[in-house]
Order: sequence, then C-alpha cells, then structure tokens
Amino acid sequence: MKSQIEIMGLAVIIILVAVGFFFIISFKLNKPQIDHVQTLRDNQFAQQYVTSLVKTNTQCGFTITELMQDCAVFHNINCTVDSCTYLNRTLEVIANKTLLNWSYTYNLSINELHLEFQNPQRNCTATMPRAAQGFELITLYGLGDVMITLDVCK
Amino acid sequence: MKPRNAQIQLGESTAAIVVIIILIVLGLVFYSVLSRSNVDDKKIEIANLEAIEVASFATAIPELHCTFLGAASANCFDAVKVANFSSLLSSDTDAYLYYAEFFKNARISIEEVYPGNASWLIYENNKSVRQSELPVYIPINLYYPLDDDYSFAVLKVVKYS
Amino acid sequence: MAIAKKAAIEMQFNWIFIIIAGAVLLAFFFIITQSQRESSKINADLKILQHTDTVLKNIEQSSLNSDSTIVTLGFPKTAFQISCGEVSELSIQDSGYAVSLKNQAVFSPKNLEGSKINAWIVNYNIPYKVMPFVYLTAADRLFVFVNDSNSGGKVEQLFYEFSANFSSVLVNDISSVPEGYDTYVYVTYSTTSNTPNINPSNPKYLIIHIKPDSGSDYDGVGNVQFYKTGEAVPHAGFAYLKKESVFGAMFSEDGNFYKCTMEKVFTRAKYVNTLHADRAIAIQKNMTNTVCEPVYVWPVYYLHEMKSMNFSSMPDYYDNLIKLEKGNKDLAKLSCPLLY
Repeated sequence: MKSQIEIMGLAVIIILVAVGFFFIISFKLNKPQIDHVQTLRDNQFAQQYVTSLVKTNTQCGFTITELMQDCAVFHNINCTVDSCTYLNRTLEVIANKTLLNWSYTYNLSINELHLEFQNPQRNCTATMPRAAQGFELITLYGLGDVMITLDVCK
Repeated sequence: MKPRNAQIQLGESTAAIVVIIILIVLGLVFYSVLSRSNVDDKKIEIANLEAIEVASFATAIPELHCTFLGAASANCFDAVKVANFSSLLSSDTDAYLYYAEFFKNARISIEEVYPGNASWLIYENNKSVRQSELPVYIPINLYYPLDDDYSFAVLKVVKYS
Repeated sequence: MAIAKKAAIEMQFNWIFIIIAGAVLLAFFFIITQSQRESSKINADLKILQHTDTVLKNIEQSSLNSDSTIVTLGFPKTAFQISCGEVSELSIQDSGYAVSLKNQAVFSPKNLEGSKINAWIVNYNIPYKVMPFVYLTAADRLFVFVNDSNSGGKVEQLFYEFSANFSSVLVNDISSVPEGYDTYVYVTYSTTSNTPNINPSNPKYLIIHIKPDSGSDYDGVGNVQFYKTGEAVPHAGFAYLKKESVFGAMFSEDGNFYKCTMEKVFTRAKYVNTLHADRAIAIQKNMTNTVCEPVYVWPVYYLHEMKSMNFSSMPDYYDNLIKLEKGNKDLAKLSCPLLY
C-alpha cells in the first residue's frame, strides 16, 4: 500500500512536469512572429512610391501630376496621343518595371480616371488584407480632386 | 524477508532519484534547444533590421540628398551627387572605409526606372556571400539640376550577413 | 539487538542520504538561478545598448525633416560611459559591451548616469547640412547662463535658443544659482575679455567662456575656452563655428572631448564639401545658360577652397561660408541651379 502510494506520487510528479513542458513549448511556438522588416517596408514603401511617382517628369515634358490633372479636366496636353492614353502607358511601364518585376501583389489605381494596374498573376482585390496603402491627392484647382492609390496586399 | 524489504526500499529510492535526474536532464535539453532556436530567430531579425537601418541611413545623408536653399526634399536624390558619391567611394579608399562604418556589409545601388535607365553602384562590401532575405527597395526621385527634372528611380539595398 | 542496530543504521543512512540529496539539489538550483540572474543582467544591458544604438543610428533619418529634435531615452537606472579618441564608444559601466561612436558627433560628459537621458539632435549646417549633432545629458546637470554687462545681451539670446528640455537658468549673479545639482556648466560671453569674471563655489563645475571674433557673435566664429573645477587658467581653448558647436562645447566633458568630436565632424565635412564642390563644378561645366554661368564662378571657387579646410581653419571657413550663402541666394534670384 505504502509503495503503491509512493509510485502514485512519482507518477503525479511526472505528469506535472510533463504538463509544464507542454505549456512552455506551446507558448514558445505560438508566440506571434512580428516581421518588423516587412511591416516597415510596406508602410513606407507604398507612400514613398506614390509620392515619388507623381513628381516624375515624363518624356513628354509634363509631370505625372500634370498629366493626371489634364486627363481629369483640362484635356489640353498632346503627347502624340491624349494625356489619358499617355498617362496610362507611362504608369504601366513604371508599374511593370517595379511592382510587377518584384512580384508584389498590388493595385495601383486612379479611380476617377478609370486607370488600374495589377499583378496579373496575383490580384489585389478589395477583400484581401492590406499590407500597406499609399495615396496622393492631386488638386484640380477648385474643380475637385483626383487620387492615385497604391495598395500592397499581403 | 527484512533484508529483502530494505533492498526493495533502497531500490525504490534510487529509482526515484534516477527518474528525477532524467526529467531534469530532459528539461535542460528542451530549454537549450528552445534557446538556440530563439538565438537563430534573433540573428535573422537583427540582419533584417540592419538592412532597414542601412537603407534609412542612405536615404537621409546630405551626400545624396536634394536640397533647396538648405531644406532637404523628401525621397529625392540629386543625380549629380549620386554620380559623384559613387565615383568617390570607388576611387578613394579612405572615403570608402569611412562610409563602410555606416553601410557595413551591404550592396547599395540606385536604378533609374523612368524615363531614363541609368544605374549607379554606390557601395559594395560583400565579405560574406549570404544575403538578407529580400532586398530593400525604396522608391525615390532623381533630380537633374541642369534640367530641373525629376525621374523615378529605386534605391536598392541588399544586406550581406 | 543486531537487527535493531541494523534498523538504526538504516534510518541514519536514510537521513544522511536525504540531506546529501537535498543539498545537491539546492546547490544545483542555486547555480541555475545565479547564472540566469547574470545572463538576465547581460540581456538587459545588451537591450539598453541596442536601443541606444538604434536611436543613434537613426539620427540621420530623424534629423532629416527637422533641424532640432529631442529624444528622451528612459531606462532602469544605468551608468553610461562615453569616450572620444582612439576609441569612441558608448558603453555601460562594468558590462564590457559598447556601441561605436567612431563617426558620430556626440557631445556628452564622460559619465552619464540616470534613468532618463535626454538627447538633443541638431543639424549642423555649414552652410548645407554636414551631419547631425547629438547632445547628451542627464538630469543632474544644470546649465547656467551668466548674463553680465560684458555679454551685451548675447547670453540671454543664447539662453533662449537653448532647448527648454534641459535644466538651465539665466542669472545676472551666480550666487542665485539653485543648489542640488551634481554638475554646473557656466556659460559666459565677452567680446573683449579672454577670461570669465566668475568664481563658482560648487564642488563640480565647468565654465565655457565664449569670445567671438571681431564682428561676429555666438552664431559666427570665435574661440571657446574651457575651465574645470578650481582652474584659474583654461585647460583648453578651441575655435567654434556657429552656435551648434557652442552648444557642443557646453555639453562636452571638457575641452579635449569637444576638440575630438569637432575633428570627427570636419572629417565628415571634408567628404560633404568635396561632393558639393564636385557637383558645382559639374553643373558649371555643363551650364548652357549664359545668365547663370558667370554667377557660378566665385561660389565654385569658395567650395573648392572649403574641400581642404579643417577644424584649425575656422575663420577662413566662416568667410567662405558667408560668401557661399550669398552666392546661393543670388542663384536662387536668377532661377539658376542652386549650389545647395
């Protein structure tokens, strides 16, 4: 009887230690891994992308901002084609050389001008979680605004 | 009979000690395995953070930045400064060693995307072969002072670890 | 009888066995706890240093959009040691770990202790940004600006330009200086006298005496002298260029620390000046605008001169700096490509 109680005591210790290990291991494994690099990259990247993009001078001599304004309202610029077509081509070239080339899941869009560029293999849809978003609001001098947005999806 | 009981009891005590020691040893083995994996994770995290640090530093230094009457312009590199800085680091060993203190084991380049396609290797020091997980891309404008024009470019930083 | 003796021996053996086993287990756990405690202290020290290192490494970024930034570093009470010289580093006392400050302009006392370290980050523009200055201090240091008749109101101006985040007072008479600080830094100014006219009685102080060159002030060029506790003659006197270097003198441990840090600054300035000069030359060479081209000539010359100037040629540097500022403004008025 005494030895049986002793064996049971030993068994209880073993069980307690095993449960303790189980909790430690599960805690360590479930600790959320925050990828600081990816978070920082995405947050700054998207905003820096659109901020730099709108300031860029095109081969036609106008900036992306000026082309967006002209395409939205004024329709004065002629770069062998109209400003909307030229803007479309230019943004496609830039997006393909950068975002598509790096295999990002992205959506670069100017809704008011019905322009949208995505990775054809990995669509960044409205329902997908966003890693980051950047946008620039371009004034139309009292006639409203037009916004260029870059969404980077996870 | 009694001597046998005593032997059994002794055996019991010894068995209990042995089991406890085995449990403690197992516990220490688990702890050291977990610690080692934590250290490995930490090393990767540190390498990736260093890539970000190098990229952040490169975007902020006056050696590359556009300024207008002293005020720095965000995300803007002066194309002439870029070319000169690249040339300085490749031709002047003292300058290279000076900036190596900041950039360490990394490869820093600027690639013009549109409308031109120029590129400059600013700095490279690859004592080790392994790179950080992904290169860090930072979109920037390249300013050409004579034309007063901006092009779209990318600062690319690859950290070696 | 024999059996009873055997039982008694067995009983004693049991107790001895228990005591030995218990002692071994206790010792084992005691050793584990001690080693964990040591490694935990090392971990804490490393975390503090890593955090400080990150802040220092990011000062270029944090100084990008603002010429003046305050960062407060809060830790469990830590004793830092900062050195400048053959080895420039920031370390935690007795820890054996340090972060390098080899190419960074950190003005600080050699020992910094406290749970709150204030870092003031200021851009050094001569005339374009060269690098950020980092001024470090703890709460036990009081900066005393002595406003006497010799200063012509300049000490008061300097006081108001000094960050309000640091313990500082403006006094006409040093007898009214509040007590209770570990170190006092007295700032005096005179355009005529080479010596400060004060004799503090605090157990530990540093006097910074500013004497500008003729026609200049604390934001120009001149000489700054350092007096430690009890010194009747300055242990060091060096040139200053612009108010940021004057502040640097105030935050430094002594004159030699200031000189060491300023030499690091001018090493960096050499490369920044070279790049600006080469840029100006490249622009001038390719310039087609006949209105801008002649305006470039003299500023390019001044930039070229500044390439080879160092800490010992501050008055000449300042001359060129003023001319360069004017040249750049002239270019701006003509809508020409700017020098900086």
